[in-house]
Amino acid sequence: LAHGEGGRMMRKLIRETIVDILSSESLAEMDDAARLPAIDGPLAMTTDSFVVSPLFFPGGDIGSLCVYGTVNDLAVSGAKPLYLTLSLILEEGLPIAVLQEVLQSVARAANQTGIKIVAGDTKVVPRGAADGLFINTTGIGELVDPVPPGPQALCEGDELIVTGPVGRHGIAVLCAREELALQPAPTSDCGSLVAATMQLRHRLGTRLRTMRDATRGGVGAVLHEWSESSGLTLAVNEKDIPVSPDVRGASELLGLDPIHIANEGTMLIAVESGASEDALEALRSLPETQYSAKIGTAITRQATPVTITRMFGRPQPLDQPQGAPQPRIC
Amino acid sequence: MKTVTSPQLRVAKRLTLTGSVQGIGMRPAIARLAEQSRVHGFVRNTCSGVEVHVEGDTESVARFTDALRSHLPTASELDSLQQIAAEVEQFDSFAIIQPSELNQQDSLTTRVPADLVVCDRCREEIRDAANRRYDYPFTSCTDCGPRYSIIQRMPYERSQTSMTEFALCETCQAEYASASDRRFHSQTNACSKCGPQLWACDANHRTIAGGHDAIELAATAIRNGQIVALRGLGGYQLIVDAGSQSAIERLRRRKQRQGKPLAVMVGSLSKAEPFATMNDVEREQLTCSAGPIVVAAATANARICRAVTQFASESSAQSAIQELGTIGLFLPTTPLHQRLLDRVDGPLVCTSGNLEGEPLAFERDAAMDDLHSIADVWLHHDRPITRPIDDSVVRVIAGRAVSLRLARGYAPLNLNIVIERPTIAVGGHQKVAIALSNGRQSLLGPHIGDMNTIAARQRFADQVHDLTELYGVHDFDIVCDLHPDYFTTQWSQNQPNRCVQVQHHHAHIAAGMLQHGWQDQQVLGVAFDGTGYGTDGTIWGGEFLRCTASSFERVGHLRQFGLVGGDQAIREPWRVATSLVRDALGDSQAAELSFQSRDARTLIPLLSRPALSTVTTSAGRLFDGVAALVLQIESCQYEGQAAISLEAVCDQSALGHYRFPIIQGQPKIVDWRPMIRELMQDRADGVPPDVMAMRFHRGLAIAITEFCDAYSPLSVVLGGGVFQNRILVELLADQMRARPLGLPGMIPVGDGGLAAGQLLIADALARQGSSQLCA
Ligand SMILES: [Fe+3]
Ligand SMILES: [Mg+2]
Ligand SMILES: [Zn+2]
Ligand SMILES: [Zn+2]
Repeated sequence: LAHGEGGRMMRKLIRETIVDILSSESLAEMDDAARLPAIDGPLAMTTDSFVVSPLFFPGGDIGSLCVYGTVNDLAVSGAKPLYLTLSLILEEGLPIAVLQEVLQSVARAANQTGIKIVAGDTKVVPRGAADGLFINTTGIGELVDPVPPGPQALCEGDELIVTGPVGRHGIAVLCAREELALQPAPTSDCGSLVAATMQLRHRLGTRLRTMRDATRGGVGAVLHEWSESSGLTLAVNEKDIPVSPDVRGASELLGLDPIHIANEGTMLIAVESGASEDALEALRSLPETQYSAKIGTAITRQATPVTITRMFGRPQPLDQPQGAPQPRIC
Repeated sequence: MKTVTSPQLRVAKRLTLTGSVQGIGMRPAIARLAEQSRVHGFVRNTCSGVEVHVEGDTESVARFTDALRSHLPTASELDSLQQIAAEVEQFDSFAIIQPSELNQQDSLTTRVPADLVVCDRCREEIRDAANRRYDYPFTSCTDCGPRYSIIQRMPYERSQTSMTEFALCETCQAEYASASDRRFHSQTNACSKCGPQLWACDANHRTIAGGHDAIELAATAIRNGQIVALRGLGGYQLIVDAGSQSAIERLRRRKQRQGKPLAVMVGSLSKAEPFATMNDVEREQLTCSAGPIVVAAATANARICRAVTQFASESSAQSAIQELGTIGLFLPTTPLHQRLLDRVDGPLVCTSGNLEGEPLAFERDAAMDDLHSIADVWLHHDRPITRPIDDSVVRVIAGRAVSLRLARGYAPLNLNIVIERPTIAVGGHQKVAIALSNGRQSLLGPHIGDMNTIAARQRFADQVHDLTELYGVHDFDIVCDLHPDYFTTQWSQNQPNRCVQVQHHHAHIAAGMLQHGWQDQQVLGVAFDGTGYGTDGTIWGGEFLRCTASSFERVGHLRQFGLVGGDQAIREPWRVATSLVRDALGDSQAAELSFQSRDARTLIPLLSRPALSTVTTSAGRLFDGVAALVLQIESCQYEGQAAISLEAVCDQSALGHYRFPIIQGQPKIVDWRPMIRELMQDRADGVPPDVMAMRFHRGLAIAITEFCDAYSPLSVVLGGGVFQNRILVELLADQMRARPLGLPGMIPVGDGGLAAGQLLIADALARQGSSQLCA
């Protein structure tokens, strides 16, 4: 890709590559703005920028990531995903084949989650100004009743469920970036939570308190946020937290705790006391959340916001590293 | 001959004694002297110290004041003795009176007395079947007994301690009131009729015996190999027969405490001698009224307590047993310990009653909860422990007593510095102890523990609350470490108080400056420890800091190396070894390293990725890595194990040393790579581990000395846990005997002393009107 040759070249690029691959009507119209039909009811809107190195990693790539990331944010907030915008920032020199592959991945993910790509933008920047390809997506969804009330509504006794093995995305990307030839190679969980959130809401109704895709900072970060907004202590059991063998092996070697590592298709949910069996049944009927597990409960607020019971011991504080974890043992 | 007393002018004097003057029999001693000197008036404890009013004829008053200093109890430590003329109030006797202010409002000026182990005279009484205190476990006098651990408020007075619950019987009251009795005004006075009671329980909380029978029963249980949980002076202890391998193994298994050495209590100095080769300083420590655990060189006899001193080096191919070569010994703390030992008539393993990693249990219910799966028999008592305190641990290095754990008998430790601004220093993350200044006095509190558990964090918060109340510290500033992930840092930042962060190694050196009274000097600090957060965001630990109390300059450090796996690398020294060898000799040599269950080759690709490593200059990790190479230690069962083992194995008669060249620059780099190369060559040549270990220690000492020589005549201060290593410190003391060298002392040289250094730095910064972090 070369930049700076003006509109003709750019339009050609957009027409031939993007429109073609995404086969979107609104994009094909090439108008300044997408025209969308009126919706009767409240909307949810979210935006996110995706920067990942490498662009392709086991289990996904920046294309699927930028769709699932935004779609999942809509889904966990209780919305049915409708429309997506796509902004590409390309570094000069990015092979067109790479762009094509990413866009195909975008198309597949959009298709799978039923979201329509309705507007887009492309910029090419000089070498060094970007790392290959950055993508921003913005999503709009329709809030569907009953909308889960959110983490402030957590009550004592509420049960915490994680919808799959934790830490897969972060470990997969780290191993791919650092070219660690681990056996088995960790695979990202990058995927859609639309079906899982629908199932859950259908099955639980108002017994579902809140859902959150456990992206940066992993399940640990979500637990800390929920503790802060609810004013409760969240207590989890290490032995109940699913971890895949590849992630376990890699994190042991790297000295990382999978509970603090990013996921891209795994969420934490909180349900009313007694509702976890129903929730688990609903989740386990879907292949992507078949390894869901109840990992803990919300309890009265203590001095420690999040506790974890490891092995035979007593609950211990689960601290959230302020930055990259640094050893504390002196 | 008849003495004619001429009527003389009556005069009065008011004297104020400050320092360590309460809880040691000061008032009774003064009252006796007053009696002898025929002066009238009173003596009382106050929040400043001890106040004395004397009046009488000029000659008598002069006799009294002249003799006063030489009549004070030996345990007293006088900071000042002021005397002023006072109004004559026409007293007709001399009396010990109640403190005038029982509800202290202001900052406390006088020192809080430390707990004292049972004295010889009380020991005689509890062993004498004819004495009314025979076997009474809470016997005490003005020379011994609990103090800090039972004090609720100051000044020191029975009504302000947890002894207030026990009203004196007639006999005890008579002792208390009689100037000729050695229990004259003994605030902790008690007997079996009126004082605290002892009883034994089984694991189901059923009371099974009381008094003598309880001691008898516990002794029998110990002889039968059972585990006894005993409520001692500052909290619970777990006790088993040190001669029984199986009992010790059960204790270790139940407590989940694998390799870590266990302390041994023996009945007397003469019973300690067979187990340790001690010098006079060690004997003095063992028998002093603080009664610490003394870590000394174990003799071959200590083998009867093999399981106490040894640890299994699980990584060595032959799974050989290596011995630490030291034993932690102490003498009976209380009459109860003494009578138990008298009955068992053999050494006892006596270890803190806590779950591994949690703070000491001290309350009955909590202890029975915590320890229910550990102890078989319980010895409880009903004297409330106001504040828990562990046993102190001391080691003698270069002829000086060095505290490895500052606690019972030594804490709170008076810090000889006046800091005007009320300040609390919170220490680090491990071995946390807090230091504080209330504007009148500064002190270092007792060991609390590592901040990894909920209970330890709670204990920390409780202790901050308790000590600020006890000392009257209001509107204080807080000083904490720079590490963002330390619990104490986060706690400090969540308080409304003004908070200053100081660098870890600067605080280590500042603690050493305080130890030696060098707080106004510029010094060269050698801060060698495990890990501490550096101002550049990397992990430091092998630092040379030219510093004052308020600022430092990093003039040198060990060559950096990569740690893969964060805290995991610290538990697994094989990772460090692989990193060091790779850096010194390359990938292929590192790939040849073999450990029992770990393959260095899995780590090598990771070491070449900066994103996966923590960069460190840690001397503690260097010891770990060398221990892994010399002793095949693959992983550690407890903190510091690798380094302790490396020290233990040294053959001090071995010749030679490894080279650590100093590379000039800003900062200078102490390069350990030649050391690793020489060590690997020795390894290949089959040089024995004890020789390699010694060459490493000597080489490091030579490098430190050489580094310091370039900064002559600055005083050198040692700081950081690495200097708990006796061989290293004694080599340095010898090599640097010609210059001022600040060796470790009673302020713990490891993280237990950090808070003292933090306090000094915060004060120095406040004086400069700066809340800036030093860089
Ligand atoms: Fe340290
Ligand atoms: Mg997002
Ligand atoms: Zn005594
Ligand atoms: Zn009595």
